[in-house]
Amino acid sequence: MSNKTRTGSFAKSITKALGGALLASSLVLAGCGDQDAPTLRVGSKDFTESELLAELMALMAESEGIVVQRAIPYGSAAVTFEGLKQDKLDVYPEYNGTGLVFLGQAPLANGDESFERVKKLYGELGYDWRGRFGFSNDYVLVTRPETAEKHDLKDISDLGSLGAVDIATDVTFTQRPLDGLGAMLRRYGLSSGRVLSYPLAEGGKDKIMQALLDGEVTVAEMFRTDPQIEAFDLVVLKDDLQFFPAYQAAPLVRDSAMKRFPTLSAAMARLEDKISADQMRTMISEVEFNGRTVGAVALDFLVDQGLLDATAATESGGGGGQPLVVAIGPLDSLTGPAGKAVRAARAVFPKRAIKVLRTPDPLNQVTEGKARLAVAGVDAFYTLEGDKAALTSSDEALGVVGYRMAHIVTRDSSLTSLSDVKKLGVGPAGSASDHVARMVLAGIGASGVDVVPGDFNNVKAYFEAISIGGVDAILLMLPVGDITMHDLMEDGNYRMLPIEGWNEGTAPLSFSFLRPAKIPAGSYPGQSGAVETLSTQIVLAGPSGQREAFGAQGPGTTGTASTQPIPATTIHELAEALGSVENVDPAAPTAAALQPALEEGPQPLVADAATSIVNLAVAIFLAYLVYLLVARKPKR
Amino acid sequence: MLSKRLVLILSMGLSAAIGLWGVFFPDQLTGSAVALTSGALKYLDWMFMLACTLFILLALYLALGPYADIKLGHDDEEPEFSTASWIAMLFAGGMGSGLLFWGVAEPMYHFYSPPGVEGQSTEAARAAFAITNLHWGFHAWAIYGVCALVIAYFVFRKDAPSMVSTPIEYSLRPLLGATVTRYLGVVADVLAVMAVVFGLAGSLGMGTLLVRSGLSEVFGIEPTLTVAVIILLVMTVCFLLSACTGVDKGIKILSNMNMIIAIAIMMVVLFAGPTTFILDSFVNSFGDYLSQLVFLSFRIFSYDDSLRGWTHGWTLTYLIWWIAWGPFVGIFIARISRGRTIREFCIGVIVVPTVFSMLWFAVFGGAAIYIEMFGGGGLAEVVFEDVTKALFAFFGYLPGATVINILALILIFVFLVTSADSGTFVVSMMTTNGNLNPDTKTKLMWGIIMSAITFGVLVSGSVSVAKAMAITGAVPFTFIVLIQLVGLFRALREDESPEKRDHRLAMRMARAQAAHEAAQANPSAPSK
Repeated sequence: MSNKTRTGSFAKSITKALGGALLASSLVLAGCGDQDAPTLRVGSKDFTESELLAELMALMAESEGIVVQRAIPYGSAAVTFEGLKQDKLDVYPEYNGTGLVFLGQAPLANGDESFERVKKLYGELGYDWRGRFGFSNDYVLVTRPETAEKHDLKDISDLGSLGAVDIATDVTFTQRPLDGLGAMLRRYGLSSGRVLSYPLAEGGKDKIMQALLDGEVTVAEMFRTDPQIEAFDLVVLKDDLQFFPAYQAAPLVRDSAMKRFPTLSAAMARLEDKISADQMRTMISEVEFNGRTVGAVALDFLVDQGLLDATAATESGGGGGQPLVVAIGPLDSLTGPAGKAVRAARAVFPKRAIKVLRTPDPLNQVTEGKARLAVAGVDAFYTLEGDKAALTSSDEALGVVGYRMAHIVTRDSSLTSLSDVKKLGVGPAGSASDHVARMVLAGIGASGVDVVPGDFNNVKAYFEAISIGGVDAILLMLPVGDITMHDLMEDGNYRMLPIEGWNEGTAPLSFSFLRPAKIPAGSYPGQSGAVETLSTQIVLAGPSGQREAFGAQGPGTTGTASTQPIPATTIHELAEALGSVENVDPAAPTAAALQPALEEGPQPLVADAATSIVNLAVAIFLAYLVYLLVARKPKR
Repeated sequence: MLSKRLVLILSMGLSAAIGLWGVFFPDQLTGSAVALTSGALKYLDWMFMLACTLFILLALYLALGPYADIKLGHDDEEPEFSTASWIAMLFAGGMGSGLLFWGVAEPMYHFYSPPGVEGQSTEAARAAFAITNLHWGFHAWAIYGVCALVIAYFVFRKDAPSMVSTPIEYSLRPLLGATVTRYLGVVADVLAVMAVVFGLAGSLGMGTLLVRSGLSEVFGIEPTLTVAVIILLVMTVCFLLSACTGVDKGIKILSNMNMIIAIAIMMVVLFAGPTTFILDSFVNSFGDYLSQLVFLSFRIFSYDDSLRGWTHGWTLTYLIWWIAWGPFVGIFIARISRGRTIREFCIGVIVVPTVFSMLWFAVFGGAAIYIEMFGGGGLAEVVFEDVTKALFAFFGYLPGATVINILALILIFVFLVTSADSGTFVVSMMTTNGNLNPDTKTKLMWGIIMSAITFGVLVSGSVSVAKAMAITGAVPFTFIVLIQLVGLFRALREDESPEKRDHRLAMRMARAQAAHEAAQANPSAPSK
């Protein structure tokens, strides 16, 4: 009996335990709603700085053992704040100035005061401002140096003299009621002309920059930490009426999240006062100019600052740590056409880290499978064989990046044209300079010119070759108006030589990708007239999709080549991101996706002889097999 | 006896000639090989598609039809290997490192750019699994199953030599006449030996490069030719050691090891990754595949020229790839399947591996698609850039990537050793007139020849040549398989004539009766 009772109570206790477990698990399940999400939801606004800050916070939270769900980027400023309010986010980086504006308060120019106030006001609403990161990112209005000089612009007030102001801005700025575009125009008494606004998430910063540099607008609204201001030497107009308030970044957290994750407070505290405006600008330029992922840059920063252990840090995302390599030439400037290509790659492959590889012969890196994309002149697809150019590259052009012209620079006043040069300095073997020089000399039949390759990896090194005296002249392949070249020409001792006699022989036919062009007068200091020379198109190149082995794709191709061609849709996206109206030079092998579809006439109905015979033979064979299957065994 | 010698002499001579051609004019050889294959696909795509689908139907008929109970062996034989080891060896022989290589890459590839569907959409994700399962599912294993069954039936039931020519010799001789049969048999045997030799050289070369890129990925070892040659040497020593021990030890132990590591890696991905999503996509893709099987099995995209090219590049290339491996895997599977009934054989060789493949692709492909759709993304582009990077890039997203990477490297290596071992075994069998346990001397000789060819392939950098040759062998071999099948069905028909079946049943009953009586006479004796 007692035995039975014990069994009974055991069963009961099991039922109880099971019931308890069920109850507990159903509670846990019920708790999986938005209110008590088991993960810390980190969001950011849709621009690089906010994404970097959010990623830093996410990484710090992860180092405290918190499971993080990233919504980086989440949306525009208003959308992100709304996300926090509606409990879609737990934390995101916000600026104290913006915080005040959201509550309809006048923003303050004094950062500390401003922070005290948001902390108090938001505290009553269930949100917590944690310690500030240590830098302020105010709005600034910028303009080109020429414009500033011409109209004598120093302060924002000076814009009043221009009449209607054409301005490029991000969409968020036009929407902000208290410290946005409208408020600023009212405060300064300016009338707005054309307003170009772009969403930051879709490469808006580049578009704003482009609009300003192209002269479409007079001023552009930017952030103080934008690396473009420095890179393009822009003039920041002084906020003389102190309209723009302080925008100090800090984590804005829901109180509920602070309770759910007791270690979150410590994680955020470790980022307090750790990031200067300079450091932020460096990080942003790593992402925007060098094309690295936000995650990788944030991780590097934390490791450098000793906030994270390098060995414990694993990079998440970004193609499993496999960067997409874009090969460019040593003279290509990231602020020039090559930069456009790198930015296009970044726009089309937003989830991959982009690695820029500088090498004398970028196209060859694609051929060897060491780079995915290359920025190369059309000349690079050809090799010089005898006195003709032969198409040898197996790569193909995916879009137009720009143009390069041959710049032949000398100090020797006795020289009048390229043919007079005795020793011509060029870049390393295989570089665009070396390559084009030999083709040009073959084209004009100047066999007397000695080509001297040098190990130059920047424009200055080329110029030094002349001053050292090893060569009479140098040949550089550069876009017209290259900034470094511009600076070096200011010296006054240098001048450019023309290429003469190109059209006299068969050169235009043999080297069709080198097209006669002129460097316009005044492109460089001290250049009085246009200089006759040759130009070549710069294209973005990738591995060829034209493969014969069992079609262009599939398991068969992995045996013959490790790199697969870039899919047609991606090629279209790249071409669109490059934004070139022009088509690829017909001399370059062009991706099939970019070629116009040929209008095919009606096909013949009758198959060719081979098809007929092969199929007939197989049909007979199959019929014979059926016969073999059903035939009776012959009697012996 | 002359024909036996003839096979050895002809196959070695032709291999040497083609090998030299490949070393001196690699481009020309690859060009011709590729031209033959792509020509065959261009003219005869309908036939390859139909033949492979026919194999599934035949397998289905064999498994469910009147011949299902026939044993691959004498009626009283028991299976030689345990079912678990049997399945493990099937896998190691049939797919090997390919599963590892394409597990992430293929679903990802079709997800990114599926034929006739917009890429990276939910539709694309479903299409990706359906297509992957088409390529690695019933078709692949039905091809292997048919290639193996035609051999196993004659070898174990009729005690014929384990040769590709056996079905032709055995049941078509009266119809074709002695001379035609003999020449056809020699052609079939020579083709089979060369398919195995080139297929293995290609896959060992590829595998060595895969291990090398894995080493450079995981340990940062510079991928040089020296490293590749060292890997090949280590591999050669390993598989020669294993080859000396015979199937029941070496290959069995290696295959079981493979299976354990592979399942361990799969479990890590399954339970450390997005578990529910993976299992959901397994169930979903299972349904998609089954419901679309008929449609997919006949799909050639005949009305769209560029998509027809897709079918050639993917589906048909896969299918003839499996056919190209047919002689090797067929003879190997036949060797390990002694004592199974035809039904057991069809379920074991076709259904079980297919379901496992589907789970495998759901795990690796599912996790990869999850990364692309809901996670950090960026993996699809890597796959598109370089398929060999796909696996290690994928592991980069997982916790404890280094450990998994090392496990995967070991797995690839062991798979290769197993392939090389079983390949050596099969070639030795085929060149010793179908001896089921060829002597160690022959195995060592072929092992060294195989390594030498792989060495040549690596040094001359002509992996693509060997690969192209391997696939090209499939074109003529497809016709051989069809002839073999006719032979099999003729023999089956005679095997199961009503008199024979009655005789067999009567024998079985008599045996049971005898056993029963014996048991009754001596109740204390063990039942076996």
